Amino acid sequence: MSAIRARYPDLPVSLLSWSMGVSMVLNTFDQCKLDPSTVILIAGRVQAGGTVSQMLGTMVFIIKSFFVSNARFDFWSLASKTLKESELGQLVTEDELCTKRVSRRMLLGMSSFMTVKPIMRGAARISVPTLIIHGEGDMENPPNGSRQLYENLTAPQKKLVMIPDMDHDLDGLSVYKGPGLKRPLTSNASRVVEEIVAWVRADHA
Amino acid sequence: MTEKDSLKDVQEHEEYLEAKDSTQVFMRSWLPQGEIEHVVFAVHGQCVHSATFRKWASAFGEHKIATFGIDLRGYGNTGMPGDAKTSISSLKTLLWL
Repeated sequence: MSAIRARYPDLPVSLLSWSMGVSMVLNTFDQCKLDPSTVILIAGRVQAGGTVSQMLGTMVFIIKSFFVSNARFDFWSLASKTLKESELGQLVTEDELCTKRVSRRMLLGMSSFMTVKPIMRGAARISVPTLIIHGEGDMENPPNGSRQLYENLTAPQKKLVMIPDMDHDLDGLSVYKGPGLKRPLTSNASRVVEEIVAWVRADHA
Repeated sequence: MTEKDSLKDVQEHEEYLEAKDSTQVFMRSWLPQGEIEHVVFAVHGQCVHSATFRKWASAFGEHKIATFGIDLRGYGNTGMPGDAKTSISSLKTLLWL
């Protein structure tokens, strides 16, 4: 994010995250000082456990993503560097110590799925306007997690948008190539985009 | 930075940023054709990579919003096996843990 800020020093930069990315962002907020203009947290995994159906839903989603999205994903990478949040920490703060702390925490916490306390602490440390969006029909990440997250936010402005009949994939978020890319957004997905655009463009001063 | 695909209202670009441990971090950006008024930095989820925001970025572009997204380590084009520097760094990190 620091690289982006350097390119656009005069423009507001919003930090948006989806699913596991939400856990990463909040863990990083817990450990580092971040300075986005606004924060947008979408369908985050911020609640440990969940029902059996939700856990099964998570497995199905991961398997589906593996084949459908053609993401390059391998066991070595999974083990290496505890991946993701370390990168975010580096790019956001360039603080190596912070990066290692976040990485270790996430590894000990079985990735992003069970580290609730630091996630909620991170949420409490966000000091900029924050938008949370979650689909009521999300079978992978329990929607109640976002409600809990909303309660923990101490941001000067916050908004929670729960969308009925919306799944974790937000009606096709993971479709990014082929014919699916040409298809128009569903009404639910359009609403998500509208909410994000309105939040990003709003004068939060 | 290389130009990639032409999407509605935005132009997709690809580039690499160098992390502190010399790992090459892959980043996509979707820039509106005209003036940029806002910037979104997007963090993807499990088992996908930055391209997952391609469709949204196109919609954001209509509103003069530029979107940037990196491939997190182990995903997409960042931190692939065979990258010696990445592997050594990963080993060091695991030992430290």
